[in-house]
Formats: sequence, C-alpha cells, structure tokens
Amino acid sequence: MIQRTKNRCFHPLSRVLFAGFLTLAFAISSAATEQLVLQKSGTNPQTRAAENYLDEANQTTVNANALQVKSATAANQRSLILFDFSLLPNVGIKTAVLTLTVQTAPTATRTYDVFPLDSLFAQSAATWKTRIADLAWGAAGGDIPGTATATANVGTHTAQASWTITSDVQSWYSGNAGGVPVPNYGSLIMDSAESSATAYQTVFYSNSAATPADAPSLTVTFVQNVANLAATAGNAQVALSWTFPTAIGTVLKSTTGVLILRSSSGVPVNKGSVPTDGTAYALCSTIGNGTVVYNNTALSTTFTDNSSDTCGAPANGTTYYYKVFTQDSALNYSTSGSSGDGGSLTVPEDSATPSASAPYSSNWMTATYSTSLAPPSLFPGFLAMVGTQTNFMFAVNASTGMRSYPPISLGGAITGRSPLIDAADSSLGEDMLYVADQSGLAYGIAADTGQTVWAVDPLNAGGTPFLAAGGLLVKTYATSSDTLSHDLLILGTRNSSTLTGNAIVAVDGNTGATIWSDVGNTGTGSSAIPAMDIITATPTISYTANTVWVTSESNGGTQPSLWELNANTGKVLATLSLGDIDSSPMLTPDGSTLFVGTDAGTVYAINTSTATVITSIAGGDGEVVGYPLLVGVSSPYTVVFSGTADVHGLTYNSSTQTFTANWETAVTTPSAPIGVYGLTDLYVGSGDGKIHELNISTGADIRDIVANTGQPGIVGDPGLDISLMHIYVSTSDQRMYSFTFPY
Amino acid sequence: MRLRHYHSRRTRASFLAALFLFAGMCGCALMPQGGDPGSPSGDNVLQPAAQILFCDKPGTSCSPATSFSVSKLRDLNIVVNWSNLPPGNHAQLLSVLHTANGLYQSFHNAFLVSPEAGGSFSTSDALPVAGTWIVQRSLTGTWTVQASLDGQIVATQTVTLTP
Repeated sequence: MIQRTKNRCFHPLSRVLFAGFLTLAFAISSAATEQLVLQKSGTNPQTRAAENYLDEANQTTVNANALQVKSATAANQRSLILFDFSLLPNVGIKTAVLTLTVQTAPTATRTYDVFPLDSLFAQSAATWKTRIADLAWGAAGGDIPGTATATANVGTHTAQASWTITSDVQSWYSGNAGGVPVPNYGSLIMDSAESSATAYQTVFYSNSAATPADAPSLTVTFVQNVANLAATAGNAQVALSWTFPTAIGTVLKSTTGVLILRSSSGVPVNKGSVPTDGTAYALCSTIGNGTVVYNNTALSTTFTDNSSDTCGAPANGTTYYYKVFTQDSALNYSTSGSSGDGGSLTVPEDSATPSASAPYSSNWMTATYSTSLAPPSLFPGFLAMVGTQTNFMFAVNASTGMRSYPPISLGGAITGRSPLIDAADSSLGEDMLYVADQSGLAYGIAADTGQTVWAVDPLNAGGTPFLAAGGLLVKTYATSSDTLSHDLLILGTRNSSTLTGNAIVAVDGNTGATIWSDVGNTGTGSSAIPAMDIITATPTISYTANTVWVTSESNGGTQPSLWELNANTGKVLATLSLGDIDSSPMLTPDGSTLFVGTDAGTVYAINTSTATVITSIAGGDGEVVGYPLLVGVSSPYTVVFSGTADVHGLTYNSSTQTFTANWETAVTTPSAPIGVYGLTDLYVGSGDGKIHELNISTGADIRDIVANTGQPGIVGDPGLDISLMHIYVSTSDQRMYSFTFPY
Repeated sequence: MRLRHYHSRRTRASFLAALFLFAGMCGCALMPQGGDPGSPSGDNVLQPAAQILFCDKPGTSCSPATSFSVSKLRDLNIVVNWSNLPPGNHAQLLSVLHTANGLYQSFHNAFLVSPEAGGSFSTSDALPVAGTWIVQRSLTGTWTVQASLDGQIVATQTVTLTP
C-alpha cells in the first residue's frame, strides 16, 4: 500500500477559523475559562449548522432554514437545530445555553422542551417521516429520548427563549451514559403539550434572519486545553512541554497553569480521571488511575519528570502516560463533565518510555472514543482522519495530534479506511473525504471543515450496510478509457441477511448520484450478475484497465468471490471462485498481476488480462488480514501478509510465475502490515499492545514500541506518513497514537 | 444498524412471552440492572427494565445463547426486550465492549411506545462478525453489552465469543 506524498500546501483549518471570527475583538493572548457565542454571522458561517422544522400536517415536506413550533391536532410542528462547534475543537465544556429569538409569538404562553436528537438528519431532506436520504426516523417526528433536557416558556410578548443544554453538549464531548460519547445530531424543540385542540404556534428566527443578532445562538463557556503537548523521553526522565492557546472568547477566569496526571501502570490515564472543579490537588494525590505529578499555577510550559519527582521517579523501560489539564484562577479544569461522564476524554495526553540507550515517546495521543483498528486516512504531513464504530470521524493535525475540528457525527459505524483526496486532484476541487457507514449511507465530506457536501443512500433501499471503505477512482489519474467526468466512489454492501443479493454500487464523487449498481443474482443473459455474498474489503482500482476488482465471501465456496467490473458501466467482466475473501486485492504497479489473499490463508496471483489464476501459495495461518502488502516496483515482488498469529514474507517472480516463501514471524494477532518501497523495514500492529518493526527481507523482529501493553490495547493497521516519518495507529484502547519511524 | 421491527406490535406480546420461555429453557434468562420487571419500586412506579439476548440469526428464528464461535457467526444479533416503558419517545443506546472493556461499537435506536403497547418494546441490532476485526484480530473472549435508555444504563449482559 504505497502512500502518496502530498506536495502542496494544505489549507489549514486555522485560516478559516481565524479569518472568519473577527468579531472576537476582546480576545486576549492566553486561554482561560472563556465564553463564546456560536451564532451565524457574516464572520462566523456556521458551515456545519443545520435547521429545519418537521410538520405533521405535511409529513413529506422539507422545511429547511426555518424554525417553527406548533401544537395542533394532527398538525404539530417541531424544530431541529444543529450548531457548528468547529470553533471549539479542543476544549472542556462547562455550560451551554441555547437561545432562540421569537419572530411570531404564540397566542398564549406555551412550554417548549428541548431534547438531544438521537439520529442523524440532513437539512436538505428532513421531514416528519424521513431524516436523511430515504431513511426514516425511528419514530416519526424525530428521534428523541423520553425526557427533555430543558424547558422554557414562550409567552405572547416573549422576545427570546433560552434553554440550558449543558449536559447534551458535554455528552457530545465526553458522554453521559456511562461515559459513552454520543454523536452531535443536534437538538429538537417541541411543545410540551402537543396536539392542542386550539392551535398555538411560535415562529423563531432562523439562520436566515435578516438581522444576524436574531439568529439562533449557543452561548458556551469552556476551558481550552493546552496545545502542542510533547513528551520527550530520556535516561530515567521524561520532559513535557506545551503551550497555552490564544483565547477565542470572552475571558471569564484567567489561566493559571496545568495539573498533570501520570499513569505508570501500563495503561493511559483513563477518561474517568477527572479533577473536580473548585478543588485543589496536592502533589502525589490520586485522581482516577492517575497521580498528580505536577501542579503549576505560574503558567509554566514545561515539566521534567525525573529523580526529583516525589511521587516516584521514572524508571527506564517503563512506559509512562501523562494527561495535562489546563486550570484557571477558580480551579476550573479543561474537563467536560464528571468522572462518570468520562469528563477527561478529550484532555491532551502523551506517553514516553525512558531508557538509557533507546528512549522513545509518542508524538501524540488522541482520543477516538472507541475501538478502531483501521489505518487512518492521510494527507501526509498535514492531516490524519480516522472513523469509528461509534459513528464519529476524527480529523487531527498530523504534527500535533490536536483536533482540526470536533469529530464529524455520521449516521452509522465507520470501519474502513476512507479515501481522502486533495483539492488539486479531486474532480470537485476540494479536499474531500469519502465515507460509507453501516447505516447504508455514503458521504462526501470537505476535509478542511468537516462539512458534509452530500449524503446519500446510493442503493435507495432503506440503508444497506457498508462495512468496508469505498475504492476511489480519481479522474485525474484515469486514462482515456474513463468516460466519466468525475471521481467515482465504488462501494460493496455487507448485507448479512442475504447470501446472494449483495451489491456493488458506484457513486459520483461530486454529487453522490448513483452511476451504476450491480445487485447479485439479478439480470439475465449477458447482463446476468452472479449471486453475491457479503463484501467486507475495500475494492481496488486498476487505472491501466479502468476496471474495479472487488472481493467477497462465497456462500460456502459455491459463488464467485473475486469480481472484475468495468468502472464506467459496472458491467461484470470476470469472476473467479476462490472461496471466501475478506481482504482487499493488491495490484502490481503495471497492473498486470493482482494478488489476493483468501480466508483459507492462500495467496493467489491473478493475470489481470485474462482474469485467470497464474499461481497460488498456501501456508498462511487463517484469514489474510486486511490485504497482501506489495513492496517493490518490478519483479521479483515482495508480498507480505498477516494471518492469525504470523506475518508471512513471500517473493513473486513474474518471469517464472512462482511464489517463494521466505519467512514467517510470530506476532500476536497481527494487523495488516505496512511498508513502502525504499525502506528496509515494515510495521505491524499487534494484540500485545505494540507496533512491531520487521525487516522486509528476513522478517526479523527488530524492535517494538509500546502503544498500550497494560490492557493490552490491540493495535490496528498502521499508516505511514513519509512526509513527517510518522507512523499512526488506532487501538482498542480508544486512542490514536503517533510515533516516529524508523524506530 | 437501525431498529429492526421483526414483529408487529400486535404480536409482540406473544412473541416476548415465547422468547422469555425459550430463554428460561436454555438457561439464558437475564436479570436486568433495572430490577425485576414485575417488581414495583418504592414509589409504586415501575422502572424500565431490559433483557438482553444474543442470537446467531436475526428475527423470529433467533436462538438465544450465551456463547458463539466466531468462525460460524455472520452477525451477533443483540435483542433487547424492554418492559415497564412509559408511553412516548425513547432513545436506546447499545454499547458493545470487547474483552478489555474497551468500547467497540455502539447502536442507536429511537422508538415510540404507544399506550397500547403495555410498556413493552423490542429492538434488534446486528454486530457484524464475519469479515471483521473480531475474526481477523481474534477478538474472542467475554464481551459486554450495555443497554441505556434515555441516557441511563439499565441493563448489562455478557456474551462469550470463542474462536
């Protein structure tokens, strides 16, 4: 898996944010407990905001950019509102108050309830019945819990109504239900006594208000996290450094310094390790599983943990984890909620392993809220993005690990590595991320801002799940055989309810429009599509042939499992029955040979011109994980793949058309390997909480570095950033790590 | 994975009865954290309770069990049978935690309980297994599923995944 270096300047999000927020003339140079009003204006576009009202009397009508609440028999109206939190990517939330300005008051005082929405909606599609694309609400009229977060009265002369929704906003940052963060799907506002015989309606100003001050607002108080946290391990010591960010809101309490927790038990400081606001902590006191090793109120930006640490000096060979909380003059910490809420989930942390000879430290660690074992999507040197199975897509600065913006909330679990393409190559002319999720939705997302450009159900079938990320045919790289005018996203379904009727669908990267689809076991004659089992791996694009190679399971070996399709039309060009395949195929650079690994542990070499098997080699140990890694630009090629307990190294000689088994190296439940041509080593994540560095030629396990061996954190497929020489991994300990390579 | 209405509300009660009976027969009846569904709380208001069941197939062919081999499992279907629900809207969050107690996946289900439903409702979600990290990275062992309702954890149940 060769990773392309991005060689142009990425548009940093900060350019957007700071150019667009000139109203903050009161900003000063250091962070603190601050207050900020999120409100659409000429300088704050609220790009990711959305608003609609749902109308029971017109159940299929989209009412975008309008906010109305009504109680009337069979004609209730409910408003949806979603704020863009992009200005607050790295903060602890303290309070949040929603305010709406009344445009038309009701004829009698009404009580309005605010609930957190439980499902993703799209402003362009939400109706009483439908929330996004063709997907229905779980309950018509909006998916909400049984209890309102807040209530407010709106009377005949009410100018504004406000609701305190702190717990909802904190839950989006940390999590209220046992510390499980929930996606930010926005809020729903409804009359507390609907279906009144006498109709009562309030019209609120929306983001379309002629006077910006009338637009909906969310007043948030928060404590910013420290920035640029770095740990440097040495001989029996760890040096930490950080910076205090510039204030972005009205300063309510000034920053005084930091409180640093350390864990030396082999696991990071957990999300429940939360200092209580207003409480001072003594050195060496314990908060959760962390020990207070530094408590500074003099705005220090460094701390060296060494032999003078009265809580216990760092020992060589032990991995230490640090979590750094900002604190202010009122002892407010950069947390969002309590210990039970997982309130320190988004607080910066880092790790370091001191050593007399070979100390190392993570470049950064960042919370992903849940397990992810997919490699991140990369703009090398600039941006790393990772999707999670709790419906979030994270975007972090590749150098610092700081969030570029708050995670994007999507409609379902995201499992694969989503294709990310820069503006210079994208047919849309934007930095684009293409995502597919288990709710059956596909998305085009502007990577610079996190804004959803389009969201579709490409099969228009009520949401057929996608497990694997899509393959992207980039128009810029295509030959003249590509007759389409845009990038093409190719997706395969994992609909486990059918053994034969799964589908491959292609989507216009610019608009989300479905270009073609192949549904298994349909059609007749030359248009017949064979039965298709579940698809769990990302398709591979052959630019030389303008075709798409897709792998699938095989219904117990009775159906095809390798598919070649015409990228323009979706016509099935060839199929092969190789048994279940749950890994992606890999092409040689000249496109002549395709390598594919099966669930039985066999690797096949396929002649792509004839779609026939050239040769194969058995001997893997179980299902091939991820993909067979191809290293080299010409024959003989090195092919490396992982099984259940071993990493295997092969050579494939295209002249003799033979595989040669070179080495096997035992690694605990290894991830897919990653390496690039020109390097002598490759990298494998492991179930032992480490990233193993193996010699490509010999398989020798040269050195390992620790992500998390305490739980242990199962390390996912690594991604390599050859611009920064950073390796990124996500783990089952709900974090993403960055280390420098070679070790 | 959205809500799976695998039976109509008219047939839900009878199905639930059969499900409870079957669960009892196979030894996998589960005590929800919310307490015995039939026991009133101190203020005589029944608290919502949930029973979490695990099946290897979706829908009415569900065969509840507490241990599954991942080599034979396409999906782990997680059925939550709610009782004592007040009428109105509800939001369920299923949190699936793998062996090291790390959050692996979550499922959101929102539903409306009608006054005629008798406080019962069932949801079903499918945790993909075949072709996933669970198989490829051998994420076997004891897993935990938490069912939260309207932001409160109501029930927790474990399930064992074997190679």
